Amino acid sequence: MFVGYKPTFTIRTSQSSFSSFLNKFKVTTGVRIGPFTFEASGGMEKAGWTYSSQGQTFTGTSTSETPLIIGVAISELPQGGANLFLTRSEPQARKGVCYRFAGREGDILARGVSEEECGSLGGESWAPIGALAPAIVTRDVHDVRVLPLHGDPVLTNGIGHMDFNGPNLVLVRCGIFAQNKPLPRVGTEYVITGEYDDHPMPFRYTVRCTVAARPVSQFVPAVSDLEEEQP
Amino acid sequence: MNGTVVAKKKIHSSTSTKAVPELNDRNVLETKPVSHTERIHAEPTHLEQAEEAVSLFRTNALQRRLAQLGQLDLQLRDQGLAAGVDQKPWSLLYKALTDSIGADPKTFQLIYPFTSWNWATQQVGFIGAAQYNFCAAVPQWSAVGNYNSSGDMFNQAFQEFLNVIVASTDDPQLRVQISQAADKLTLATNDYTTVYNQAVSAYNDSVTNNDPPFDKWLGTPPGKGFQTQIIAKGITVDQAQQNYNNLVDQANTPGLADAQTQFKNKDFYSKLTDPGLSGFPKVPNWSASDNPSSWVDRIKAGQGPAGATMGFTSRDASYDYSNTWAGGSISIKQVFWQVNVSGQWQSITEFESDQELEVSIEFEAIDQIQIQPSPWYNGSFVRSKANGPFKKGYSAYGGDGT
Repeated sequence: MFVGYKPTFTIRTSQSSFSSFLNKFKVTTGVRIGPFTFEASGGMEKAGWTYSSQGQTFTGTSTSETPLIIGVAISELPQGGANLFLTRSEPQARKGVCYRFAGREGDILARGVSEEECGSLGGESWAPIGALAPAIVTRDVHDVRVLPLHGDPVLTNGIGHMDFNGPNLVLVRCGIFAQNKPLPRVGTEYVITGEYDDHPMPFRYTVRCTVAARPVSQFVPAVSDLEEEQP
Repeated sequence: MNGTVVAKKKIHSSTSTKAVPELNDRNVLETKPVSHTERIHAEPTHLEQAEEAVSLFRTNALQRRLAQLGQLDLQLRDQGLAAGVDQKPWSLLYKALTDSIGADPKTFQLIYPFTSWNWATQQVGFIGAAQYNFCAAVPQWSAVGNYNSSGDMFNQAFQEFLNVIVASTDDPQLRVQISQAADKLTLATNDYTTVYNQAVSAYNDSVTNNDPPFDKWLGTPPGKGFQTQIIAKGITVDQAQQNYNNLVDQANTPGLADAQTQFKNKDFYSKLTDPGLSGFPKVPNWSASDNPSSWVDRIKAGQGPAGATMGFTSRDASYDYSNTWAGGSISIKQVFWQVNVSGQWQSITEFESDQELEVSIEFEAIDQIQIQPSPWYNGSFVRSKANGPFKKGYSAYGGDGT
C-alpha cells in the first residue's frame, strides 16, 4: 500500500470562487481534497494556513502527525508466503526523485522519473520512492529449447530473456515462435533448457506457459517456491 | 480455460500488494473445458450433486461483483456525459498520483474514504482490528475504490476456494462421505454468513468512514451481541471444516490437504488486541513491512523516503480509467471538495464549478509499505488451481472461485 505524510495543498481559484470561499476558509478546521484530509488543528491561523488575495490562492499543511493511506497495489492472486517477491508482471523501472547535484542536493528536477530518465534530464543523483521493490535481474539466453513432458519440442535454437529476483526465476520470455510453427499451450508444463549469454552455463527449468504468442511466449516456474536444479 | 483468458491474467505484486481474489476476466462466467493437466485425473470424481447446498458467501460475493461491474459499465458509457460533477476531479487526482509517485495504473487503486495509517505496533501473535480489517478486506473492483472494513474477507474467500477444489479419489465411499461433509460445511458456513451479514448491515447503518473498523466495532456495545453470535456460529463452521478436512486428507488431490492444514495452522493466526474482542477467535495474520511510528520518526530525523508533488487543473480532460487494472471505476460516493466549518463537513460548491481551478498537493514523504498474508495463504497452490478443477457448479470466473 502507498502511504503519505504531511500533505500540503495549494489551490488557485477564480476571483469569484476566491471571495466566496474566503469566509469559510477563515473559520475552517480542515479541508478535504478527494480522499485526503488536511487538518487545521485549532483553526487555520494557528495551523499556519494562508491565503493570498492577489494570487487567489489558499495554502495549508495538515497538522496531523498520522500518515494516511493513499492507495494500494492490487494483486489479483497475491503471492503470499515464501515467494512473496515473485512477480509475474513485466519488470518496471523504479520511479523516484531526480536532483540536480550528487548526494540528493540542489534543485529537484523531476519527480516520478526513472534513474535513466533522471540522467537524461541532467540530474546527478536520484532517490527511489519506497525502498522495497524487488531487484529484477534479466539475463539473456540462447540455444533455448522448450520441451513438453510428452512429445516433440515446441522450440529449438531459440533465444530469450530470463528474469530473476535473487536466485529465483520469475519469468521466461523466449522465441522465436515463427508462423506455421507450433506454439506452446497456456497452462501446460514444459522443460526449458539453454545456455546463458554472459556465462557459457547451461540451465534447465520446469515452467508453465502463461502467454502463448508469436514471436515471443512467456513462462513462469512451475513450482515457484522450490529451488530448481541447476546442473 | 482458453489461452486468451489466461494470457490476460495479470498478477502484479510489485512491492506491496493487496489481494483481489476474483479472477479477472469478467466476460467469462460459464465453465469451459480446462486445458490443464490435472483435469484428466479429476474428471471422474464428479458426483451427481443435484441437491448440493449452495454457498451463501459465494452467491453474495458474485452478486456484489456483478453489481459493481454493472455500475462500472454504466459509468464508462456515461463518461463525459452524465458522469456527476464530482467524478472528474477524482479521475484527475488518480492520474496526478500515478504520474507523480510512480504507481502503475496496472496495479494502483486510489482508496477513499480517508484512512489513517495508525496501526499500533503489536507483540508477536497479536494484530490490531484496524490493521486486520484493512489488510483482509477485499478491495472493490475499481480504479478508485471505496474501502469498506466490513467487506468480503480475503481469508474467507480463500477458504471457500479450497473447499470447491475437487478432492479426487478412486474410493467411491470416500467420495460420498466427502460430498456429504461438504454439504454440512456449506450449511454451517451459510448460517455463519447470515449472522455475519446481519452484523455488517447493522454496522453500515450506524458507522460511517470505517470509524471504528468492523471488527473493532464488534467489540463495542452495539456490536457485542453480533460478536457472540459470530463466535458461536464460527465454532460450528470450524467443526464442520475439520470433518471435511479429515476426509480430504484421505483423498489424493496434490497439495489440497496440505493447503487446508496450512490454512488452519494457528501459528499463522493472531489475536485481535482491541478491548472488547478478548473472546474473539484468532484471525489469520497479516504483516506489514513497517510500522507508522518508526516510519514517521525516520522522516523527522531526515532519513525518510522522498516526497512527491502532484497537481491538476479543472481544464484538464477527465482521465480514462480504461487503461487501469480494473478497466474502469465505480461511481464515487464521496464529495471531492469539502471544508470543515464548526465541526461539520460541507461541500465546497464554488470549486466544483470553477473553470480556473488549479490544485497542487505535496506530500513531505510518500512510501510503499508491503503488506502480506502470513503463510496460512498458499499462493502457489492457488495459482496451480486457479483454473480448477472445481466441484460441479463452480467456475473460476464467476466470482465464485476465490
